[in-house]
Amino acid sequence: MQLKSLHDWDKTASIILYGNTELIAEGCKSIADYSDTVLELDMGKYNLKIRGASLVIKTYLYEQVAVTGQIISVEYSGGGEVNAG
Amino acid sequence: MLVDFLRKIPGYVSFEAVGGFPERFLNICRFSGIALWEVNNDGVKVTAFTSVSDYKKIRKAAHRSGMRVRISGKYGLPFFASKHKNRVCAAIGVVLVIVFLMLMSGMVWSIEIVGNDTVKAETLQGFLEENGVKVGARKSKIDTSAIEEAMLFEYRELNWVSLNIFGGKLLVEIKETLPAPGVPVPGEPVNLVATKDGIITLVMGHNGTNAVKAGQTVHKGDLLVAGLTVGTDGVERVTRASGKVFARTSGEITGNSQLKCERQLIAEQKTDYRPVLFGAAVPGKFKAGNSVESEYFGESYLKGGGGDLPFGVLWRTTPVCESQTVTLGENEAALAALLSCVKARRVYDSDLETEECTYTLVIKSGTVTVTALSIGIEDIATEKPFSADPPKEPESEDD
Repeated sequence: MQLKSLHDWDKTASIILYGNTELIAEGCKSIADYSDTVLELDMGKYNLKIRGASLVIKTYLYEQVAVTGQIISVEYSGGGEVNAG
Repeated sequence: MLVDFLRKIPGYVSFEAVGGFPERFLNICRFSGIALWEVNNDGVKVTAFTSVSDYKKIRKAAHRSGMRVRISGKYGLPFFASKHKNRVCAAIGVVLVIVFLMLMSGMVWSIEIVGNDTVKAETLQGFLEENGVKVGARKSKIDTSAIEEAMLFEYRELNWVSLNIFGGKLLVEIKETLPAPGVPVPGEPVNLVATKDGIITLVMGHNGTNAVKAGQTVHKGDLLVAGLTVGTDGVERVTRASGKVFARTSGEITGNSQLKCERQLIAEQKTDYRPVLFGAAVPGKFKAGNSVESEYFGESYLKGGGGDLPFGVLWRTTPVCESQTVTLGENEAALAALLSCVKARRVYDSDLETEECTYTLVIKSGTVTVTALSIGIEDIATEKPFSADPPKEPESEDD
């Protein structure tokens, strides 16, 4: 197994889920899709799709996204880089 | 709540964005360093909050993502001030209140001294006042270190002093010097003699020569312990006699009451007040009472911060008394006499271990007398300067 460099570890995204009402994702590159039922985040090497109801982006600054609402599911999908511009 | 308060100081707005690409709009905002919170997309429009300064940059992001934005709400101090800009007096009032609070919070409002035992708190307060530390003094003007040093220099009884200011309260913590264990000083030679008549029950002579023993009867003034000691060389030396000599004693205590007596009855009470502001009483004169037997003074202060605030009231209650001649029943007079007797007995028995006490009631020519015969054990030894004359010896050996 090849060890990653410290630089790579630093860039690894992290996701914290508090029950089914709050999710904090760090390392988010951009928002790929957003409505009150679906929020898809580009995390670099994969996409994170959050399904639920009344999804609200509590904060969105730098690479951190905090989402609140009724979260039903969290899915990972192998997406590529999604450029914002 | 704190975050909301901090956001309100520079002000923030809520806005709606419609049309275009919401995701692209949000991403451009993020890359432009525009902080958004409470972002909600209901499919028709995107609503969010942002600061006033960031909203000025948001139009560029909206233009690039094809969205139209408009403000839906304004919050915070700049908008509040703008809304009420014509209310000059209110603004002046707010400023004055803030200035007043800042001035008042910069003062000492109460002083508490703890840990003193031998040095009185009033003495220390006087010293602090001489050095400018008093209620109403500016906290910034108080050099705690210098005052601590000055207090230690002034009062040798103090071992450690610390002045701490907690809000408007100045706490002076003190540790006093413990007295060095003293070496007994011989002092003037004395004898121990009896203070009253009695039968000796126990002799505990610490120094000197015992002149009596248990079971012996002594009278007032009899020698109990002589201030003489015989050394190992057989030579007698005068010394300071010390010890305790317990004896069974008896004493009579009487209490009287008249069947007809004059009494001072309180007809009414007048109370005068003087407000205290910033630690000083407002000048005022208490009214002189009529037929004043006694006056009751008091003070009450507002409490705050664990101590008294320098706002309160001084009051004086003056009872207006009237003299009345009262005729008591025998039982009532007997009870009054008994009460008087018991009060006197309490003083008499303070150092007495009472074994027995009998009461006698006599009513004679309008006077009720209660006599208590109290028998108990007490220390009857007292010091008397040593004299070369032979002291009075006890009369008998046994009783």
